[in-house]
Amino acid sequence: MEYSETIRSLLASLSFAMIVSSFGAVTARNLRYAAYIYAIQALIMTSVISLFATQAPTLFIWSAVAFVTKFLIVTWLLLSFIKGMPEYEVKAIIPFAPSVAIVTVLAILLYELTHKYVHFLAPTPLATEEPFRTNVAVSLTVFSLGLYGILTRRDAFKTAIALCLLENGAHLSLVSLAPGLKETVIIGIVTDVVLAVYMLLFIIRGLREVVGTTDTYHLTELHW
Amino acid sequence: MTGAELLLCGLSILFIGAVITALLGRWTILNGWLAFLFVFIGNLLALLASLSFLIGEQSATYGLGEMLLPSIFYVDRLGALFILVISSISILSSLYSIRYIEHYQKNTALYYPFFLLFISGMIGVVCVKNMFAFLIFWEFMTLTSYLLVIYESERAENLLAGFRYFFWSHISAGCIMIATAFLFMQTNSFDFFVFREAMPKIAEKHPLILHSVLALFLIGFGIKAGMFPFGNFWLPDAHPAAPSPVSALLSGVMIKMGVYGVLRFFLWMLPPSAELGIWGTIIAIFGVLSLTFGTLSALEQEDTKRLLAFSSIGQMGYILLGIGVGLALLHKDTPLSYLAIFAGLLHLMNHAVFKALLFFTAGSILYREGTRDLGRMGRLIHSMPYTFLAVIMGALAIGGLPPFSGFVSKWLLICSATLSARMHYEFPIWAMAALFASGLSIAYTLKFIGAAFLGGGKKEQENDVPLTMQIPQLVLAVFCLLMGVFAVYPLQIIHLSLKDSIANLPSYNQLLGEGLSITPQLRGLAVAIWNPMLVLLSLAILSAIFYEFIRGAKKEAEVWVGGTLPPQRVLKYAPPSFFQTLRRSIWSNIPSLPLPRVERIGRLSASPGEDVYEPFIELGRRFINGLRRAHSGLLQTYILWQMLGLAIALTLIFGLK
Repeated sequence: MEYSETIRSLLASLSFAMIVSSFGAVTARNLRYAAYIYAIQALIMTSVISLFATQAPTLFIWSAVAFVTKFLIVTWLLLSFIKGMPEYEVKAIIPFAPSVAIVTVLAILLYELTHKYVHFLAPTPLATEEPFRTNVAVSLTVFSLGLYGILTRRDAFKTAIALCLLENGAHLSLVSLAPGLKETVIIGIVTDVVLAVYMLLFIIRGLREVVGTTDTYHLTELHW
Repeated sequence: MTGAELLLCGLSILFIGAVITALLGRWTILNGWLAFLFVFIGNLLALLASLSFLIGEQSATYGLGEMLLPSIFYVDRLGALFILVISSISILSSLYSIRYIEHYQKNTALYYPFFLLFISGMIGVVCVKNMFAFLIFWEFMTLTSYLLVIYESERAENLLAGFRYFFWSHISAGCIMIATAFLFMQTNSFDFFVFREAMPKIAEKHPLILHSVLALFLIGFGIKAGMFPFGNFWLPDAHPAAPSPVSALLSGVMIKMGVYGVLRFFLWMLPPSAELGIWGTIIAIFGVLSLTFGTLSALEQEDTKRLLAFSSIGQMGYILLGIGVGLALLHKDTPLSYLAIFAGLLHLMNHAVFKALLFFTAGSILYREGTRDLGRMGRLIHSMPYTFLAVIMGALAIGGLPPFSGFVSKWLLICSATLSARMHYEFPIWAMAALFASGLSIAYTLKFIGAAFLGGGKKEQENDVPLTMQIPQLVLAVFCLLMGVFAVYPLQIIHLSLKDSIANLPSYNQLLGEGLSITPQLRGLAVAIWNPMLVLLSLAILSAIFYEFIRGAKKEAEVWVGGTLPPQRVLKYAPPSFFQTLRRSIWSNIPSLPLPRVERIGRLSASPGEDVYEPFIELGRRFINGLRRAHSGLLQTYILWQMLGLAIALTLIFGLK
């Protein structure tokens, strides 16, 4: 599969934009903005998949499903949940400035890792070629940003957003790692994020009702 | 139905019973009767099965459905003998439990289910042929009995006793497991028969491995059997702590599982050889140590059940001595070796009967008087006449007085040990020690009877224990007499049970003669004789004469000192003063030898300093505290743990590749 130079450069800039927007979604202190940034990230991801689809038409279905589930439904779920929440998140465990440094180091490390050890990481021959190789690096970075968000944000709402990022990263990597998947499987995989986010938000709503806050530091009932 | 089917039915009835009794814990008496019903039916089936194995069928292998467990169960005649003992004592013990357990006023859902599972675990141990299944049942038996030992968990000392039991049982299980691992490495199988076939080859190629395996087995089973100096760490604590029916089962039956292990892994598995002879000598020495230590320590005790527990160690010594002497002589092809094993096994059966009986009576006293302290009881002869009768029978049996059961086994043991002097010059010395300890066992039962039942003073109202508690006592008491007079029948059962284990066992008549009297034969000559009818007749004549002699000579009078009636407690011989002279002379003579003071060893083993257990408790506490600290309650830390775990798992998987 050969991609033209324009598509390659477009992919590169979109991938960079996706990392930046994921970072923004994790670190934005205003919850509404965080949700918006997440929406942008989902949109960028959809377009990345569409760009890949120019050479592999089955991926169009994938991008369409991702557009509906990740962009429309999840964003709607997040935005409708945000009503009645305080405007700003609970203070994060690691603030903005160190986060920038950590994430930059992380992205570079993962880029190096995927380009050096791609044979070990990716079992398909396709993934060893560009631009799929970079795609693996980007999806891993998005994935680890999601994990980073879950680990360092105290606000449960941010946990939900970080979980979405985690899923996005995993799904994006499938473009490179499992390009031959059937449509039904793809739809299934992509749709499961809706369910996960819905359930997570449901739990957070309950948490807000019982504890009165979405601060996960208050969830220490198990401690003895 | 074949024996195997009967046995499986019996076991399943016990399991069903465990579930049902767990649901009805609040209705104490009803639950007791239900449990008795299940135990009775289940064990009756097992009893029939064991008889059918002993008399008719060849050994049977059977599985729980071919798919699930392809024939791990296996019953041969040796196992059948043990099923016989387990089942008969279990039935009586569950009958005894019904009213006894009432006085704890606790939920019986913590008692009966484990009681039933404990019995099925013991039966399971003796009817498998796969080491893996054996260990599972072994642990099953240990854990359920542990829960029974700590039934009265409100008392701290019971928990400590339970902990000791748990600790030593697991050292025992650990030894057996290591030995199993060695055997598995040699044979690549867990099957007893494969072990048995491989034994001569292992003995030839790797004698060191064989002997370490045997040493581990001996220690492992010895701990369970209460063998000094291994079993005495848990036994004297755990037996008094358990409810009395359970003590009866522990002492009467469970510690015999250790003997079963010794028989299975030494007698059955190894071909007769000089090496086996050496192990037999070692077992015999441990037997002598146990019987000396157990009996001497029992003299010291002032707690009824603790006294009986030490006496169990002593009596296990006789059993081990018999088996040890038998194993030592096995390769010399002499009838004496069979006689010694017969004596050991007969004593095993007798001990099951009289020790269960004595624990029942100690339980009855506890039930009525609420104490185990010999110093705080007395004159119970008036209020508990039937229990007194039972105790007397049990004491005569344990003391080895004719015509009671203990006599026959001890006599047979001492006969075979003495007559083997030409082959093993030390065995007659062991026989003398056994004879001496036998005398001392009369002494400690006398202490028990004297302190608990006798003493002057006014008569009290009869207030014996309920009928369901009296029946087991009286049944066992009658058996104490019957098994002495009609000792031929148990001996014939033992003869049958050894057919699978000893290749060329002579017929019963060749070994022990014909008829009701027992005449051990050596090269066609009767070397000794026990004729119960003759003894009964002479006893009857003697007692008639004696009665005639003392009739009219007996006078009853008030005791008075210096013109006043002394208080009643003075009229009783206080327990600490029993056999003071004897004890003093024994203990004061031993330290003069350049040996560690036996008295101190006795005390140490009776209650080893808590420093033995303290490190383990502390280790556990630290571990739990560490776990607690890991529970921060924060979502993030849990996810971090998961990620760490994943990272470690991935590194392990890919790193090993």
